[in-house]
Amino acid sequence: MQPTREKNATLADVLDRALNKGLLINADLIISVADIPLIGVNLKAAIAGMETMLEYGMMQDWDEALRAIARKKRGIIDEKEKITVLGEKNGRRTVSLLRSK
Amino acid sequence: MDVKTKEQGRYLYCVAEGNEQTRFGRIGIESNEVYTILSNGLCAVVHNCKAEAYYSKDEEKVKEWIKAHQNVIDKAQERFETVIPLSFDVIIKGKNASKEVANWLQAEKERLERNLEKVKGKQEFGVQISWDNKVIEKKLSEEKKEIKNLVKEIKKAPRGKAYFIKQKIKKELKGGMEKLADQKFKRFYLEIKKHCHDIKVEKNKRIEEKQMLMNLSCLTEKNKVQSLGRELDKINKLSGFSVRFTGPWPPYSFIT
Amino acid sequence: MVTKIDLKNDDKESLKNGVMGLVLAIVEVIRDALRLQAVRRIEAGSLTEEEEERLGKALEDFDNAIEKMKEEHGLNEATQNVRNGLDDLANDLVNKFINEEQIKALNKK
Repeated sequence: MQPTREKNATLADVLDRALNKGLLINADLIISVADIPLIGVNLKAAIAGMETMLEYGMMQDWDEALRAIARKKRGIIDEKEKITVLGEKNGRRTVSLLRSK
Repeated sequence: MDVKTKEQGRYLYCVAEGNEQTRFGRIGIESNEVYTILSNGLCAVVHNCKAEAYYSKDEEKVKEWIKAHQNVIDKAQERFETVIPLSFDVIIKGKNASKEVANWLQAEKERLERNLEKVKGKQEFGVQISWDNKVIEKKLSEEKKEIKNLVKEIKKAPRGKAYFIKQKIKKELKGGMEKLADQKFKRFYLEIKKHCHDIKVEKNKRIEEKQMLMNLSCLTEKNKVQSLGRELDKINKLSGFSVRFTGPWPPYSFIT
Repeated sequence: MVTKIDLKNDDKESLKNGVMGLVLAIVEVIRDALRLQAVRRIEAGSLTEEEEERLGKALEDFDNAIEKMKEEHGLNEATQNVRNGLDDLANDLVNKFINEEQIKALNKK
């Protein structure tokens, strides 16, 4: 069996490595990224009910999501996947690749 | 007049052993010119940028950036043979950013050289072993007496009772699968390890219709890749199992 | 890395489906809990045959109702996504503690 690096088949492997691994550097030397709020649904909040969702700032995200859907309907944006920078820890930037499948 | 010097950035791709200034051309992210910054036997492969992170909500754009990141490291590996890769988006900042990079190389010399020594002559490979749930379930149903008996029982039982027997079968299958997965994991791990200098267990990923059993990063000597491939062939041939073998990758998973 | 559960659905990119998927996923989890409870009580012998029969039928009807709802509203994928997200959250924790020990043991061989 030969190892493959076929570009289309191994994009996820590249993303995994480049986003999550590699040499760690002292945080004070490198650029900091301000924590960007998570987009998504916290299951606990969902079970707790609408009022709690407001408290958690969830409605804001849903509102944004609804607007995104409206824009999409007008053919402006197509968002199937989001790469969101979540923040930084120990000199490594945490980035999440959200798939809708 | 007080001129405040603005902070600059040096985007880091990787570190290698080297004493000569090298230019790679405009192969960097956003077609930036990639070159090396030297310090006492080590060199950092960089491009000049603003003192801010590359960030975008456009997912296609970010993918292109990451592909470019990987491509530069690949080119560096062609030139330097052994490199220590960095994550995407590591940017050293400073009023004299090049100097910061050189100082950093100097300060981390021992650690960088240790890592370079560790990965010299070796490559990283991804090994993912999965199985087809349905094939394995079928095998277990045929081989396990408990399950065969339960299947007989269901045929005679009334609807309500049959429901609970069905749950029991599911539970037996699940237990059997877990036990088998554990056995196979251990066996495969020990066999694969023989062909690796170092090995890391990664998180299992979700694949449609298949169950991933193990996800490994393997650091292997170049002359042992063939034998690793042969071992994986053996596993791939087992009924219901499939192996995904990727690489060679820069040694992302083995840097400490 | 944090696991995020995405509500958007490939088939029908609508928030309503995402939320319905979430609701059904929760319903399924509750159904699983009820089912487990029932099995335990039967194994403990605390139900009569008649009770077992009634309970089994009720649970099966419940299962069928959930499946029907998923079929009618095209929610199979949305529901599966949420359940996968839940599984991933749980697995993250398990992997962190249990598997580390297992691998250490293997490496000693």
